[in-house]
Formats: sequence, structure tokens, C-alpha cells
Amino acid sequence: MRILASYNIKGGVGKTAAAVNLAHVAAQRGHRVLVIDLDPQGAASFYFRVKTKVKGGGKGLVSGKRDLDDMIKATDHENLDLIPADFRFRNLDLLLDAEKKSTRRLRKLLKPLGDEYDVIILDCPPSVSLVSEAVFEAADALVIPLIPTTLSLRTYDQLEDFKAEQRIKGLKLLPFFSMVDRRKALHREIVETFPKTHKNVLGVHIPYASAVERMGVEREPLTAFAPRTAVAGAYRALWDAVDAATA
Amino acid sequence: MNAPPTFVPQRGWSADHRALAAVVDAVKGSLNADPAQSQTVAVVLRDTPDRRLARQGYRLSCTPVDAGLETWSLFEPDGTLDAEAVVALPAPAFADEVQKGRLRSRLGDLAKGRTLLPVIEITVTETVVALRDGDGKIRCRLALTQVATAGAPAETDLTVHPLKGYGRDAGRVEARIADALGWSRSRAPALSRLETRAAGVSEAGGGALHADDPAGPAMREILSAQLDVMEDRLPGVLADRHPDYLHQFRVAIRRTRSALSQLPDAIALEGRPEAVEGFRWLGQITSPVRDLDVQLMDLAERRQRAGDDGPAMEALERHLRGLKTTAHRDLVLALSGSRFQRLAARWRDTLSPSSANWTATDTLRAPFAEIVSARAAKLLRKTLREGRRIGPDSPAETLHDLRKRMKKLRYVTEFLAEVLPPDRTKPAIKALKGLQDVLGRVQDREIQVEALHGYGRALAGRKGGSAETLMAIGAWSEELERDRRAARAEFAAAFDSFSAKETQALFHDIFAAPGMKPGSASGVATGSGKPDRRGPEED
Repeated sequence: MRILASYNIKGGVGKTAAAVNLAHVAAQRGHRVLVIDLDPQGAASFYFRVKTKVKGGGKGLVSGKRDLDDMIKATDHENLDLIPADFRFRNLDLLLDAEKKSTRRLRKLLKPLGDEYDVIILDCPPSVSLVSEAVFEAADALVIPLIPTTLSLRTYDQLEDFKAEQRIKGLKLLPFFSMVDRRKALHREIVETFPKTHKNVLGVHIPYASAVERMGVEREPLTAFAPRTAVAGAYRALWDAVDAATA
Repeated sequence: MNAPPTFVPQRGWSADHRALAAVVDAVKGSLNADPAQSQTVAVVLRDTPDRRLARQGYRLSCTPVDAGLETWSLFEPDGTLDAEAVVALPAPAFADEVQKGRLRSRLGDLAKGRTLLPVIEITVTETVVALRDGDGKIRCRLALTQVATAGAPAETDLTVHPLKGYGRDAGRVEARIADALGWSRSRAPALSRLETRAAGVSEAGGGALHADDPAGPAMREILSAQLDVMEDRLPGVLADRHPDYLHQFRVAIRRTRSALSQLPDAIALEGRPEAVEGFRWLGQITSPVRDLDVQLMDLAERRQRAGDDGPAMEALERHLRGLKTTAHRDLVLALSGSRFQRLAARWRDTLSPSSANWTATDTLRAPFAEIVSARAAKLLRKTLREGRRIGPDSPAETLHDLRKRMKKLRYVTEFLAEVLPPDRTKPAIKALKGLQDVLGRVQDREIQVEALHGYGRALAGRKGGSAETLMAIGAWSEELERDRRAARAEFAAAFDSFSAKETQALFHDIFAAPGMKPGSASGVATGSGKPDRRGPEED
């Protein structure tokens, strides 16, 4: 079982779109996939049309007293299940803090799902918090969408520093450019120069496309409702790159 | 994971588009239904000629995926997928021709070296309707499956596929199917039902018998099943499609003969003497081809093992194939002739359910298991008595006689197995087979050595009968003779194991099953048990 987390300290960079579309592509490729929507806003759950309510809320999730299996909902797509978000997840930090070895808690909770799923994708809320630390401890890799702007790149450097300071081992950082607008000179420049100093940047760029925004209307992965678009092709290529980097 | 619940429509329900729409409307409740989506695929079910997969509840479903390729899917008895692989055409005839992997291994276990042949071609049409909530989320799916094959009415069923986390919705739909429509739950998927009906000719017998069924009608069921097997395998025998066809044809003949000879009171018919003679003749005329089939299979196995002397056996193989061609031609003539046609037609007529003969006497009306267990218990006592008399210096003939007695015991025990749970009868039948195998090796090796010497003499001096060939035949004969001596030496231990208290307890258990009192049925004759001096045995 591989645990991937779609993460960025910054919001609005395409984390949920990446999590949802990567999960759909992985499922289409035959992997058994579970998405866990850790963001209390519940955007991933919304895209999959699953109601944002979990039995026991965040407490049920963190304490482990409630079987995680009871929280899982099938999506409308083969091989693809979801643990939906719950507004009560906004208190996950506090709930984790009350647990012993709080940052290792998530990995322990997910371990029993290894028989049922090949890939778990965590859709994370932005910010650095106890939840993010638990995610860093649980995940094998962070898939990090970066908008080619200065502020976005700065948050990535902050993340690298945090990883080094906390001495987090065994966690791969897999940044990729998201919402790339080739008409903008700055985007073109950053896409070209940033990888020269950051060798782990994946060579796949997700273009800025209205189809991504339409996910909120269609309430489906765009790889499902617009599979022939260029951006759907980019998500498929992104999965292949992530798959190769984490296999 | 358990298979989802499946329902069978009420009699007379016709699965057209409008009828399905009405069903969906009646069961969907507050959910919204998507437009139905249909898909039709052609499926070929493959199995061994004796339906080993089907009899163990498995299904090997083969669907074309591309030019020259098929997907082979092996389903477990509860309908879940056990193993799957894409195979290249022409289709593998044996499990070990399938590419390495789980499917090959599972088919090897289930088919036990038998050939895998298409047994039935089926068209499967699946119409799926997704039921969604107000947010457009699918809560469950309904799948109407129709399976059809040439010459048989279509089978239909409706399955509710629940989605993880939405079991309640599926449960509510299931309840409406049962309550509002009155449809009943299916015992088996439509595909299995159709296969059973259209191609499920069982080797073993009736399949739905009970211990306390009257003996006459029960025997009629078992004998009818044997005739079904003969008629089903006949085209394969005539076309010489594979040795398994003739093997199964002969097993059905032997079971019939065994019933006629061992249970005469349960088959007290006017036409019995004619049937006894007819099936004895049928056993005789099928014997030469079967012996040659066995010899050719042994030769192929020997050549595979032999390495260096393999090519030297080519002349022998040509010789055997020539003999087989002649023998098969004679067999085709006999099976196409009026004697066989008359025998089969009269026997079918005798087995007709409208025949009054099958309940004419008290014995015919007595419980089936009681009659059969009494006979089986008697045969077991005789078997043990004969076996105990055999010492290290006893002549080969005594072992041959014991082997024949054991065959009778085996078939009668298998009749009993028709009405008892397999976990009670299988261990006893396995114990029988163990001793039969040793006895079979003693007799078969002797006959094989004699036959090889005959072939050697026939080949000597002929074109192709080189010194290498004759030497290879000689080496093989010596190998067979060594195995015969080894089997003879193993007999004492094998019989001790068979006659041991623990093994005999297995038989006492099944012969004394409820309603059965060993030896209680009076007047059961021992039967003629005429000697069967044919060549190498296959069971």
C-alpha cells in the first residue's frame, strides 16, 4: 500500500483537483484507491457527491474506537472509495494533540487498510499543523501542486526547510506545476528555471483550464467527464510520474 | 466478499425494455433511475468432458477480447472471481498449456489433467440501471442479466449491487423486489442455472435423490443419468475428439452394468437380461480403442521422461496409431449400427418415468439407501475376506479377482454417495481408490508388458523396427515389470491400511446412516459379477 498526500501550505493551488483526478486515474489503471478527505471544507467529498458527514466525526477518526471501514463510502467510480470530510475535522489538531504519539497516530490508523487498498490519497487542508505533521509521518510521498508564482515557490522552500528541521525521513517530496498559464511570461520563466535548482520537480505541468473549474458543476473527476481534454491527459501523465517515483 | 443478492422473476415475466422500466419504477423508492445501459457479450464456457469444474461448482468463462485472444475467468461456487488470465488462441486444451500463474495452477487442481473443451456457448445480456439520490450520487445498481443458448429457454435474474457505505439503500430496494414484486431469491446465478440445465449432464447420477426415496425410481434416476452421459459423450467418441470422451462413455457403461448386476432386485425388469447382455457387449467393443488410448498416453509420458530413447519410440507410436485407427473405425461402425441404436432406444424406453416396472415389488418400493447399503456392506465383507486370504505367494489371479470385487464395491458405494453428504462418503471412496490403485498397477503393468512384447514382435523385421526401437521397448518393459513387482510388494501394506479399524469405521458410518441397517435388506442377490478380462484399467 502506498500513502500519498496532496499537500501545500498554501491554499487554492489545486490540491483537491490533483487528489481527485490522480485517484480516478489510479483507479482506472486497476489500483484499489481510497481518498481520505481531511479538509473540513470537504471539496473532494463534494466532487464525489458524497455527503460530508462521518460517523463519530473527527473524534471517531482519530481515536480509532470506530472502525475506519465503517466510514468508507464507495464513489460512483470502480475501484475508488472515499472517507468523506466532516466539518468537525476542523478540530483534528486538538483531537490529535490529546492522543499519545499524536503524529504517528494516522499511520497506525491507516495500516489495517493495506489489505483492501493499493493506494491511499490524503487530501490535506492547507497550513502547517499537527494534522500536517501526522500526514508527513503517515505518507510515503507528498504530491505538491505549485502555481508558478513567487509566493507559491516560497511556501515550497518553507516546506523543504520544515522537513529538514524536523528530520522527517522516508518522505518523498514530489512537487509539480499546477494551473500553468503559458500566456504569462512569469509562468513560463519559473517553469523553466525552478527545476534547475530543484531536481525533484516532476516534469508534468497541469495547465490552467476551465475544465478544472467545471469539476464543481459536474461533481466528477475531470478525467471522468472530460477524458479527452489536454488537462485530463496531463493528470494521467502526472499519475504515471507519481507512480514511477513511488513504486 | 459475499455475492450480491439475486432475484428470479415470476413465471411469465418477459424482460423487454418496458417491463424493466416498470420493475425499476416499482423498486426505486425515492431514488432516481439513470437510463438503462445494455451490453451483450458472447461467452464460451469450458470444462472437462466429465464437467469436473461444474461438478465442483466452478465456472470457466471465456470471452473474446481481441483477434486471437480470450479472457479466461474462473469463478468460485459463490460467483466471485477466483483467477483470470488472457490466453492466446488456439485455446489451450489442458491447464498446463495456460500461461504460468494463478489460473493455470487453479485449473490444474480442478481439472486434474483432463482436457478443457467448450461445453456451451452463451449470449449474456446485462442491462444496468444506476439509482441515484438527490445529489446525483449512485446509491446502488440494478443489473438484469439474461443468458441464452441455442435450444434452451433463456434464464433471467435481477441483481442488486450495493455500494460500500450505502447498504441500507440496497436493502430497501431488495425488500421492495421481494415484497412489491413477489420475486424470490435465486439459488444460483442465471449463468449457472442455464449451464446446469443445458450442459450439466452429470457423470455421477441423478443429483437430487434422498436416502429414503423408493429404490426403484431412484435407480431409474441414476441409470438415466448414465444413459445421458453416454448419449452426451457419443459425438466426441465418434469424432475421436479426445480420449476423455470414450473414458467417460465407458465409466457410464460400467456404472450401468454394475447396477444391473449388483442390484438386480432394485432393477426387476422384463428387459433386464437384454440390457445386461447389451451393455456387456458395449463394454467389449469400446475396450480396444480405450486400451490403445491408454497406451498412447503412457507412451507420450514415457517419451517425455525418456530423453535419449524418446526418438526410438517413434516407430512404436506409429504402430499404435495405426492400430488405433483400425480399432476406432470398427468402433464407429459398431456405434453407428442398428444394435447400439436399438439398445439405447430400448433402454431409454425402459427408463421412462411412465414405466410401471420401477415400483412393482416391495424391494423396489423400499428405501433406496437401505437396499444399496445392504449390498455395499455385503460386498465389503467379501472384499475383506478375499483380501485377507492373499499372501506374498498368492497367484496374480487372486489379486485380479480382488480388484474386480473392489470395482463393484466402489460403484455401489458411489450410488450411496448420491444420497449422503460428500464429507461422509469421500473419505471411504478415497480409501477404496488407494487400494484399487495398487491392484491396478499389478494387473495393468502385467498386461502392458504383454502388449509391449506383442508390439515388439510385430515391429521386428519391419521397416521402422530398428534395433534402437526394440531396445527402447525392452527398457520400457523392464521398467513396467519393476513397477509391477513394487506394486505387488506394496499390496500387503495397502490392504492392511484399507482393512484397518479406522478405515473400516468410515464404511460402517455410511452403511449405517439413518434409515440404513447393514444387511437388513433381505433377498438382495450377489449378482453375476462376470469376469472382465480387458486390458489396462483407467480408474
